[in-house]
Amino acid sequence: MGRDVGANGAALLEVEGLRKSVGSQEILRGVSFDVPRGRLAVLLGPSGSGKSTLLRCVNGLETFDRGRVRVGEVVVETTPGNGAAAREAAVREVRRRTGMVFQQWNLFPHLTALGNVALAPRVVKGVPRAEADERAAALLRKVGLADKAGSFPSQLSGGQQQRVAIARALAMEPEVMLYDEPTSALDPALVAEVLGVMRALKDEGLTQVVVTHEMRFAREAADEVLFLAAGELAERAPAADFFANPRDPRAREFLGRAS
Amino acid sequence: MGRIAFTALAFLVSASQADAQDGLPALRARGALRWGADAEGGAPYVFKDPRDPNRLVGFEWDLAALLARELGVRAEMVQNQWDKLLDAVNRGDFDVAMNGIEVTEDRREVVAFTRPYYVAPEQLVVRKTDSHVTGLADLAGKRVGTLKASLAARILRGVGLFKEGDIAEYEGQVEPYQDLKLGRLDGVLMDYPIAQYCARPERDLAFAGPPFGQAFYAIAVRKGDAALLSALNEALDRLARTGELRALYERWALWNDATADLLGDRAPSTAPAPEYESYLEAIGKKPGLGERLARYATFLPPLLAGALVTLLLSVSAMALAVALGIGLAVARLYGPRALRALAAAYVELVRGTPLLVQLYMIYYGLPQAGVVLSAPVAAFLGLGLNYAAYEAENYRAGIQAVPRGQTEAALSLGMGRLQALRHVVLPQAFRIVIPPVTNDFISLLKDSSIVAVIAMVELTKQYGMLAAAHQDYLGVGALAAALYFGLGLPFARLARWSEVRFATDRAAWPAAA
Repeated sequence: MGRDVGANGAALLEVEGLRKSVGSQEILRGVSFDVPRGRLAVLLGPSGSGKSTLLRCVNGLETFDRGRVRVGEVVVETTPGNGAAAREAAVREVRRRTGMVFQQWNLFPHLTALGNVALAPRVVKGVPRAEADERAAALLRKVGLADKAGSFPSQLSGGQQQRVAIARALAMEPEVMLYDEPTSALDPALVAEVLGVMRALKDEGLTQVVVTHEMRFAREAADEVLFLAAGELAERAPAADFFANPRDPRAREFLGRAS
Repeated sequence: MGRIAFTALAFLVSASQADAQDGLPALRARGALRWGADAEGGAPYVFKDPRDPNRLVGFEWDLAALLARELGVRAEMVQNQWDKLLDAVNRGDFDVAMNGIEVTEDRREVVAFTRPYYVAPEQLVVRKTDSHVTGLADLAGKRVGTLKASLAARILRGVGLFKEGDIAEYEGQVEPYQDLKLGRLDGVLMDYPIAQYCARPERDLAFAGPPFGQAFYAIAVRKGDAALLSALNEALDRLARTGELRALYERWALWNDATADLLGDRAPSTAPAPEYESYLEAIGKKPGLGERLARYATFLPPLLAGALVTLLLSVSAMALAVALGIGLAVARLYGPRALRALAAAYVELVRGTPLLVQLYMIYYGLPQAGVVLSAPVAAFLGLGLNYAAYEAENYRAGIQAVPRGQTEAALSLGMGRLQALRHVVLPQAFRIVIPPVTNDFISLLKDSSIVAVIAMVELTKQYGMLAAAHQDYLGVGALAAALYFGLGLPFARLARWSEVRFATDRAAWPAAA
């Protein structure tokens, strides 16, 4: 595959032949794609097309039946002989290199905004509390919530909570950020502040993969669109091309309904 | 020395039971004859002094002092549930058991007995209005009461005058007379000393006919404690010869023909009975309100000591229950299959069997396997291990009530399963289970009274002893109830406070998810 490659000669995130069934239903039917370093890829598709499952397979929140996920030099694959323990270790390493942002935020309600951001570095990396707090405060400043460090999630709006969630994921210094419909549960008025943070991260050169229904964001901010339909990657194109001239009939239908 | 040693210290100092093998040398080395009895049994054996609830008195208390003197040591009473005295002496909790224990063939299987120190005939008691009753025959077909597993019970069964259902057997010696006065029974047959102290002073009750039958009271020692047994027999012989034993019984108004035969001393008795007189005077006074309140004030120290034991026991047992319960819940939710099954089996087994049986097994059963635990440790383990099963279910429910997204968020940040559990799931589960755990704690506070069966003297036992001594179940009961309520209240308030305190972040939980 001689497509877009990163500076080190390979894409940062690579997914190859991913298959997953639940019961008799095939959710993913051999999905392959890669995302070069510094790019923002948007995963589009009708509901039930497997977008969220795909994202969750990438960072190991769900297992897959066949295929291979690579982040940097860390590989999770289903080849036989690859022991469960080794695979578990690889999944954890992948999680360390990827940050995940959820539709429902999933902030820890018993901790303040600062506590939410500082927890994982302390627990996982053993960063001393003072240092973790300091870095957490800086991250909150970065997402525009410097004054909310001491607030509990219940005291924050949905948009503010989602920005804390992004800061929380960034605290682990991931190479790739994964977003699973980050604005779907937000009031329309609060969507912009979250998307604004993601744009700013793109400008900093962070690699991001976003499952979203925000067409304007996809059109304006994405480098590339991955269009998923019925568990297959139906189309892959630069964002401008995809929106101007979708080739797959299902993509055309999807865009027709979305606009 | 004569003080009751049931303080909270019992918690910290676990009794030494190293001397289970060889009684006499150990006893001499210790300088004390440890004798087991139950002060809740009541007068005249060993009971709380009606004049001073911090003191124990009784004819066996005096006898123990005489015996100890003969052995050249001091006497040290160990409080123990009456119907478990023989088990306890075999456990090595004390050297001898002496508390109106009648020699029977069954008991001879379990322990060795000294020569009898007293012979108690049985005395029938009826209501004064039933003066026509002069013997059991006059009560044929009526309801009669007695003490459980006593000679009187065997007599009532054997005479063929009463249907099985009409013979009521009681644990305590005061209750049958109460029921007789209330008309729930028509006659009560019990050992003469009991009738003398609990029925004779009652205006509404009367002795019906002369006493009959012979119950031999003897001192129980461990089988194999031959040296101690013969030392005690020699001491009893000496006390009989010198007349000290007779004088003791006369002081307590317990001298009778059968005991005279036993001691071979048939001279008629004219000696006064100062202990009995003093007892009658103490309980006969109808105290005014002020006096009554003053008396209740003197009950407070023993009741508070009992309450402290109850509190320490409950708090420590609950701590064990919560710690073990969390472990069980985690094992059941996240453990490998075998561990899950084991945790589930523990919960079902412990929850499905009576606490009382578990306590007996720990306290009296484990010694058969060579593990002898002191009463406080056994009580702590029994209650803690039992409540752990309930706490495990509370925490399992609490952990499951934490949304799955919380664990996913933690895992996605690179935490391991245990880290996610410890830093994200459990802190939230703790808050969820505050109400049910508080509930269980208050329930444990009251359930802890069951440990009286394994020789712990806590609040309910203190209540039982005081109430029996004064025949005042209502007033002392209200005091004890108030103390229980007072013990539980702060914890209920604390729980309520923490619920409110932590409620602020509850709104943020994705409850819809």
